[in-house]
Amino acid sequence: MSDGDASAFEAIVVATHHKLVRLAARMLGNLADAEDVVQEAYVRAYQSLTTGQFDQRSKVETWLYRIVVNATIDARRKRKRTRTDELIEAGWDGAATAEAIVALRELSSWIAELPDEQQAALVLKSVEGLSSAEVAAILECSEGAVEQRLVRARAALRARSEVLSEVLSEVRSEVHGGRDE
Amino acid sequence: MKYSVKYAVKYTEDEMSEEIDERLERLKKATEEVRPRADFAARVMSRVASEQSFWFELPRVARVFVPVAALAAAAALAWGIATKDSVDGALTDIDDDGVEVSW
Repeated sequence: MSDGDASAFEAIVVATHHKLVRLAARMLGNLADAEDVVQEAYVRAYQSLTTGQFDQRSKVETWLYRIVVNATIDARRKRKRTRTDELIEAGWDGAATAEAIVALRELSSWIAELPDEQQAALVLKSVEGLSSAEVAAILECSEGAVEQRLVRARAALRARSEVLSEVLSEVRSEVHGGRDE
Repeated sequence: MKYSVKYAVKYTEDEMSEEIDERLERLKKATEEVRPRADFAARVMSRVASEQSFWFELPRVARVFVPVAALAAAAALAWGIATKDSVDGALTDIDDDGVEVSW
């Protein structure tokens, strides 16, 4: 592979692209952006393989997951700076059902306020179903750090839910109060 | 305004009715079949091929070329020094056995 054998790389792409695009879509909230990010990640991976930058300390799949997670985080940051809701709505979602499109957006917006490393840990472990060891290898941290990120992510989501609950009860009381008057 | 408050309340009620794990599981299942377009792998390979230009290949070529060029430069330097010594020696010999030409 280090000699840039394109057919060997194609075999890697064919074996991994479904999982990687789904992961990116789950983090970004739409398929069009996910395809772009994963395509660029593959180009970077190919360049690293042909120039011998891949140190082979981890499995190729783990290494690809790492590249995609980092590229996805970069894309999210750029999108926060440059894109508007209208542009996100205009994204292409050809290969997903309507239910999946809605679910991708729901997941992405639900975890959007979490720090990047917590988002990544949560999606890799709880949505992709990887083990803590696999997530730790992808995120280049200890399993303990993965567990800590998951605990913090859940606590943040729970706190958000509690805030929403308070807002909801206030809205209800206002609505009912208005009716009584 | 009434509609957006109604929508927000409905959305929040849905969100609160689920535990975090339940919600993650539901979203996992709902997005399980998400996949790229059928020609995605072909497009990736075409993009990879288009990137194999001079600039893309440059680091790989440089990794081979730079050590070879360094060796060649060292050999040229050594040859230059050796040649200079022999030329200097030859010139010294000429001086020693110099013939004066008179007109």
